[in-house]
Amino acid sequence: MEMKRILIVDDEAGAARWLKVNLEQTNHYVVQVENNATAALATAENFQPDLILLDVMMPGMDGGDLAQCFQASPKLRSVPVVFLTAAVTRAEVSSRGGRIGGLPFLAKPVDMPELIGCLEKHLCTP
Amino acid sequence: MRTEVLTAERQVAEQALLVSEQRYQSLLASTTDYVYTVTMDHGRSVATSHGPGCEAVTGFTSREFDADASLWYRMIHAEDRPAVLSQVARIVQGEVPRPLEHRIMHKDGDVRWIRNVPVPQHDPEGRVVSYNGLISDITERKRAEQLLAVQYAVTRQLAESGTLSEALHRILRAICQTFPWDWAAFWRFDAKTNALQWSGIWHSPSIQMEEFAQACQAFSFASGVGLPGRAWASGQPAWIPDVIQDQNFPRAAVAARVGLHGACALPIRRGEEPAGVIELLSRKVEPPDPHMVQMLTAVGAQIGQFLDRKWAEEALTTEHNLLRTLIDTLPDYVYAKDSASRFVINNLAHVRVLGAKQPQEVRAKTDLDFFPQELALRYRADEEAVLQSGRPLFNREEPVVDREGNRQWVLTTKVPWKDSQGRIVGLIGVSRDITERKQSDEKHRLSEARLQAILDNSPAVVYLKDIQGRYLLVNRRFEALFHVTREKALGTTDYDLFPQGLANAFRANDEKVMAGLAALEFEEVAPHDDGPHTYLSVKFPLLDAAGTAYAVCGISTDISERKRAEEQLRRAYTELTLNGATLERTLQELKAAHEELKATELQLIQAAKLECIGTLATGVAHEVRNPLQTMLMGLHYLAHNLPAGNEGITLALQDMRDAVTRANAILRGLLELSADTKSETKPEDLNVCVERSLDLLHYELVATQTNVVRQLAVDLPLVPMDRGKMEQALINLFLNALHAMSPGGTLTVTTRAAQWSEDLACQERLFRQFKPGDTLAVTEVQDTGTGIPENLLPKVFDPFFTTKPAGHGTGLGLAVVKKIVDLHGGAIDIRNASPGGVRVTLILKLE
Repeated sequence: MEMKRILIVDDEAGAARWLKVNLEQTNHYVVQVENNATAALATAENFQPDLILLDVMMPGMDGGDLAQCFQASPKLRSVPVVFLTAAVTRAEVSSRGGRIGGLPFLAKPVDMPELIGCLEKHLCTP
Repeated sequence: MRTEVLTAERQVAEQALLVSEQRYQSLLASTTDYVYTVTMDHGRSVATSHGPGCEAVTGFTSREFDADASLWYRMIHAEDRPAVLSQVARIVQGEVPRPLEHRIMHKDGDVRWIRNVPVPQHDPEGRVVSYNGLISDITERKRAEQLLAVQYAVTRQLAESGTLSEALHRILRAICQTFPWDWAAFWRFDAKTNALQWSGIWHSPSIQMEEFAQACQAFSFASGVGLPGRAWASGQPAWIPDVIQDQNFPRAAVAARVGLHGACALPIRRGEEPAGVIELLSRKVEPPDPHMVQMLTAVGAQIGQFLDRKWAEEALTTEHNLLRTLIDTLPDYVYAKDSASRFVINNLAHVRVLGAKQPQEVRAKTDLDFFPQELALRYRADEEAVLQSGRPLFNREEPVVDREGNRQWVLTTKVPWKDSQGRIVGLIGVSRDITERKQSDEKHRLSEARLQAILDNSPAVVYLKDIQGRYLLVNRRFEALFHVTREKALGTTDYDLFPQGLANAFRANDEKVMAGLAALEFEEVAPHDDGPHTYLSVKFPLLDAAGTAYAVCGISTDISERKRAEEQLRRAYTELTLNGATLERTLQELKAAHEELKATELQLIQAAKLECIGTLATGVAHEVRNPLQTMLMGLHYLAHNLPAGNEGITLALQDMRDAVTRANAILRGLLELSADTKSETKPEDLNVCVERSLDLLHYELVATQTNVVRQLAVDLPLVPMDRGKMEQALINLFLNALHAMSPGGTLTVTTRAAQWSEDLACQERLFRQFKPGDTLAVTEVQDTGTGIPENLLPKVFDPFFTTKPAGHGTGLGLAVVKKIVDLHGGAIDIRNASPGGVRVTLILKLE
């Protein structure tokens, strides 16, 4: 089975690092972490991910704005984006059908089964 | 033969001479001129013969000349004799002098002008033996020349004179130069005194006349008096040969002193009106000279016409100056423009606003030269309309920007300017600077608005009425209380707005204020929607400059509450003094009220606390969840990467995972507690809401083998609620019930409609937001758990209060439920049920 490329954009370096480790241990994903939101666009264009996990509240650049940049980039337009946010509760996630402004999102803290379920769902339906 | 021939020749010659002589004689007889011959002998005249025409020219016959040898000399005008003698002397010396024109005294006494052309006859030695002279009467020509000369002189003087007095002065001088007069003066006709007054305008070639002029100042002449009066009375020139001899010449004495004799006065008329008299005097005795009179009459007419014109011009100039001064004095901008809107006339105020100093600077220019194009074109459009239609433009308010950029407002009127045929040739504009008025209007408006704003925000009723009781001003409170708009109220009286009895009372009080001219206080009653209210009205008169009242102003404060309190106090006092038991009861009631107040206060403090927690929670949530995420990921890694089989490690990891979950649950609870305080309610089916909440807990219910009993009323009306929030509240209640029960317990959910009057077995104070008669929707959630110790019941809604084992509850579930119920204006009660467990009652208002 082909390894999927996941880009994690999150200023919380610890969380991102362990997320990458756990995902890569499944042997299904190649993961790159970018802690600097302002560098995320360039990183994404270089890395060419199959999916981007994107924190919402970051210093320098808001996740929402960054998502718009990805969508505006010809290289990234078709790459699905999943928000990962600490600002909402899990209850809110389910009450909104798992989407914010049309884009899917996960509420922090998220555990691995839930995360992988979400990734697989959106990797299958680009 | 020769002699015959000679005789025949002589006869022919004699015959020819005779014919010639006859022709000559007949020529002489046929002319008015005549020929004289003076025979000389050794340079002396020895005989003079006068030809037949002499009588026609001189009045004297040749016989008279023959009889009187010196007649010819005496006949010559005394003044011209030297010139004649000089001519004779030149003839005698052999010269051929030029013809001489001089005056003679005709036998009838008249002065005649003659032209004397002498022709000397010489002997062979060249001596003058005689001379002939041809004398022609040139009187008519001379007079005509003289008249022309005078008229020319007068015309020139008149043409060159700027003012009337200058012209008169020049004319007098010209007359003195042309005619042999030694004094000329102008006597002015004064309509007020109906007499001729000394004008001060006079001329004399001689300096001695100063004394006469001084004397004249003291004189004035009525009609017929003195020489000027005579000329005025007759309308004809008057002549006095010698004023010294004249009976009607009051200045005779002074005239004698300065040596004046002959005099003539010439009336000057302006149309039919007398204008004055020109008086001429001579040092000589002057016999009346009809020709002079004729000439002077012509000159008088000429001067009269000139005066007429000059007076008209001066009147025009005076009027022009008056009008010019008038428009230049006006502060308004006055201007006239031609049909191309070019300036023709501008007053000084307008010149200044155009940024110029002199009217000449702006003449023939247009508004485009002075104003911004937009304004200039607007003015031009207005002017086109006036010029085209002939209709004036009245009082147009328009802006003006002067050269310095100062903006003004002017009120402009433009009217068509018509010529004598009624054709429009331009327009006349008047603009008034109303900038100050505009500013003052604006200030007044602002001041009015400020005052109205102050009045409108006063809790008191404020109003102003004129002396007839008509409202001039009311404030917003007045409008609101008496349900009348300001527009409707103004101009009406109390009789239009209130029942007659009240209106009478108001009017009586107003009149007292106006009569006393001082502020007074009244208690007045005014109708309100909930019945009559008592007002304390302070009313005072507004006085004009004369100290007379022209309006009454009132400020009325509602003192009904105070009155009621006073009444109650009075009654309570009465009762208290009468009944000690009542006092006790009142005290109890007061205590109870105090307790209630304290409880309310506690609740308010609680609410404030919640608010504070909420704000904190929102901020904290984000910061805490990120570390939680890190921990969760780390735990996941450890769980999958530590060697299996160590029970201690497995337990530690599980406990840590639970701790993360619980920390997140607390955050969630706090966020929910602090979630927005608004709820959007719409009618919902309460039973559907209950079922959905149970569905969401399906997994937990099955896992705990909980028996769910539904007692849902089938005919329950729709309840206004925020369904999402209400579901959250129910889920929290259900979860609490589950946690309180051992597996296999029973959860009973009941819904029903109820009237407040029914005893709900709840504490009254929890439901005081409902009134008897309210229809309510009641939901009861009952479990079969262990119940709550009674002493802890009052605290169960406090945040972080929990009866669950440590680590099993956040202590926020019921606090959230309470908040949601409060948002719905509902009530919640929790108590231990019989035979066991807890029953939570949640009450919502149906309407």
